[in-house]
Amino acid sequence: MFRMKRTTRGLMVGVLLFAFAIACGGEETTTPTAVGGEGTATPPATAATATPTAVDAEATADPPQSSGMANIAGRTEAQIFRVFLSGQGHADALLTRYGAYEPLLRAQDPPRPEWSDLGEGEFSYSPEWNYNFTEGIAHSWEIAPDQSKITFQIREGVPFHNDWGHVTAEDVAFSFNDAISAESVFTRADRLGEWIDRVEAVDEFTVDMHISSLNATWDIRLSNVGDTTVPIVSKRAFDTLGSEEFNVTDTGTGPFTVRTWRTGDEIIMDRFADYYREDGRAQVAAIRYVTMPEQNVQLAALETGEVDIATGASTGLDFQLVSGAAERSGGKVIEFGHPGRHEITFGGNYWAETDPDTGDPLPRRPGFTPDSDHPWIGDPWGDGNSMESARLVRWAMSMAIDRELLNEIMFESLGTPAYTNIGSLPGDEAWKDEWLIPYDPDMARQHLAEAGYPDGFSFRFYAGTSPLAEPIGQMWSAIGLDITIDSTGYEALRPSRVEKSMNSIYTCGPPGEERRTLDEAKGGLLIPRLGVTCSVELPDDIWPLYFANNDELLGPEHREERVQNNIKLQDFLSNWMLGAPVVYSPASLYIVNEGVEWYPHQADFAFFNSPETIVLHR
Amino acid sequence: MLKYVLRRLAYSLILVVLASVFIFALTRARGDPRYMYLEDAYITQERWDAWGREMGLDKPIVVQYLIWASKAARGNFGESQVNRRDAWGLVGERLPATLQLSGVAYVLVVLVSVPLGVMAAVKRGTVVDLIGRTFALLGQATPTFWLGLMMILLFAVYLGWFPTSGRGGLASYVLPGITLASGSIAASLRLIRTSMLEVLDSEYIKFARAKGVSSNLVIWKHALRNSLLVPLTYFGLLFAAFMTGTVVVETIFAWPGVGRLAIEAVFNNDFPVVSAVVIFFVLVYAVTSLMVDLLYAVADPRIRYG
Repeated sequence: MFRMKRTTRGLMVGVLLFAFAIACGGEETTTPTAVGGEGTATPPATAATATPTAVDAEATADPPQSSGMANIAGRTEAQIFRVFLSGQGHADALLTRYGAYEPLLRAQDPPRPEWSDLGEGEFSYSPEWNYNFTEGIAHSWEIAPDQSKITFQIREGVPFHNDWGHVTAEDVAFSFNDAISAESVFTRADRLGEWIDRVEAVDEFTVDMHISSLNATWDIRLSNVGDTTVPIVSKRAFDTLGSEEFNVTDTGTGPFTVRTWRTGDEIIMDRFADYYREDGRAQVAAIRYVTMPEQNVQLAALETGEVDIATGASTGLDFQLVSGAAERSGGKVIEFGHPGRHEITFGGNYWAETDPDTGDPLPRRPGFTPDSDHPWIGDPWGDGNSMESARLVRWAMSMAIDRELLNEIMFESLGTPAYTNIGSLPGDEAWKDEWLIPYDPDMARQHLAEAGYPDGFSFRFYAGTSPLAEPIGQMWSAIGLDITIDSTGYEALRPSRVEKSMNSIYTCGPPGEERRTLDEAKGGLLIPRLGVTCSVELPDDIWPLYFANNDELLGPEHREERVQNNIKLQDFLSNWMLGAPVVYSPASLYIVNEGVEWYPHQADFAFFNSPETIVLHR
Repeated sequence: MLKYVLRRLAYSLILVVLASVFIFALTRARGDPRYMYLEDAYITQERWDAWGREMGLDKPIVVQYLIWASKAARGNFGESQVNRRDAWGLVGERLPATLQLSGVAYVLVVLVSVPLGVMAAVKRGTVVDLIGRTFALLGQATPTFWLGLMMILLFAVYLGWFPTSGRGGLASYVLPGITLASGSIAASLRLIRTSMLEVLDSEYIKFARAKGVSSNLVIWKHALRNSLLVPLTYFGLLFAAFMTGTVVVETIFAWPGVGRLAIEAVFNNDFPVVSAVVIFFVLVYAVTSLMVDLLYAVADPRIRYG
């Protein structure tokens, strides 16, 4: 008996010791991090420091200048750290939004409304904010008369983090040339390389950017509110550390420096005291990004005060959940980004004949299947009936959608019904009344009958995670269509979109192309190109409109021509209804907890940005 | 015994090789793997071609597999498509978090299910048994994701006892640990109860009781020891299941482990990481089942000579 008890006790003690050991086990030093505090020599990839947790993070926040650590939750890891990891030190354009890195051009901060004037619930700045780019690493520039180059003057005295010196023209040239090099893993390298040939240091603070073409939005593209932003990094750091260590070392110039990073978990950054824009220095002592994939848990953490801002991801947080959580926590909801268009694409209408890049004839795409199983696909090379029949089918399906109702029910009327693919809305300068798509189920049934489908047809609707899938499916059922809603994600469908074998009805998004200006190049995902497109290829007399607007008709003097080209494009798309616009919805929603201020740029991407403007009142 | 061990080792090796073939085949199931990896809408033909050469797509498929497999055998699954990190290294970085969470859950399962299972068997037909069986039923029927969210709501939001998520101090282990363990506690409780009932009904237990051996000694020494032979397999594989089955719990509780790495890699089409994680899972199962089989052979001589 005694032996048995001792054995049992021993077992229990062992188990408890084991539990204690693993629970208290040392944190893994996974961190290819981290740079020490401000002003330290660079200790690349070695200083995996102790990691604050959700509980003790607050305690570690020391307030050297202003108080507090702002805790920010996102569904995915802050993309800032791609820069450390991307081969030659360049990565996704979005990384500059998180505070450690900065691009060549920096948009002036948006105007700040008085916090007390914000009122209840949602608030926003003007989405038409006119960017002033003279506050960045480049303080001025000049475009050559023949548009062959842009000469930038670099601001003197912009310090790199971790004592890597100050930014010079060499650093700028290195950053760009490396980003567009053949070996680059910069995800936007080809888009950047489309118009930038090389960047050359002329003297210590002057660089020439040699370009093959100038586009209307070049300055935005190179800035912190653009989509091909290149972070400026230290060439000396690269030369000294080598690629591997460089990629895990903070060599940026932004208002925050990286303290620790645990992959997929959390990132902590400290205020950079020597940040060159005195009025742009961080208001909080530190920022902690924590990855919380589950939206409900983010909102729970907001309620408990574990996080100050819930950021969601590019697709934002759920509308209904957000409004409820903001109400309970006393927080505010911020709308980000240009409204995104939800659109139904009638895949398989590959009508282009010529490759825009090579001028060679295009082969028939594997997804071009104009048969009775795909009544929405028209055959421009077959008899005329196919095209007209498919057009009527597409129009019928578009007319069966009650856009007003969807906006009211699904987006609490925060969105706008969409009728065009170019972003034109009733009443604007481009608008034509014939573009309006009426909600008319009776006419839709009539169209189906005329097309030879009086009893409807069956098809699979690839809706991904679109919240509109179910209601649209029901509206289509009401006109006699037999729908199977398929929630296969974008990731799984993407290969078929790249190889042009996609021939289904699906949501190419959401959200679709952003509604920005009426004169920018439209229809970029409908042209015949290598890469991910919307499984529709415009015919040879239409797709050149995109290239004309994107590459040729540049500058304000051609604005009207660009608008007219887009009107011509919309005339074509409205007639043939290759994609059915449904509704614009806010691109992304963020919640800012009670007692927290934050003044981000809201008019660009729907991504987190401007952490230096966060202020904590607690 | 040596012959038995060698045979089991060979089986494990075959399992891993077959899994590697399967994983490689998946990368080619959609045809050109570049279609899966391509991130942007804009790519030049030159870059596309260079990419193909880099991936060895100009070689026969068998050669491509052999190249991939030989690299994988050395832990080289390539770089993550998302952050250009070594894929196998990423698994290694996330492993401690998963090990710790799995360890906590495993201990919970043992500490709760063994005494409860024994008590339910000994007190068969009583309230204790009823409670045990009800607990088992609820535990197995409750979805993990729902339980996790409810635990967060109750213990983090309403009561404020534990953090909602994240991996930090001891408190952060409680909710995810219980959530992960709940289903397995129920399953093992039922298993132990059934096994105990069988043993308690055997002749040698009756004989022990007839000899006047104390009830505690009969239950906890003779009956429990013999009834653990069946659950041994379950407990062995349970750890492997925890190691590979934490995807949901790690996602809900923002736990930076291998499970979450797997789901992130799937969503990102990050095939090098997916390959590394799946091979890791296969290895965990292969090694664990091998260990269980060897233990079983030690515990029951009929196995090794059978």
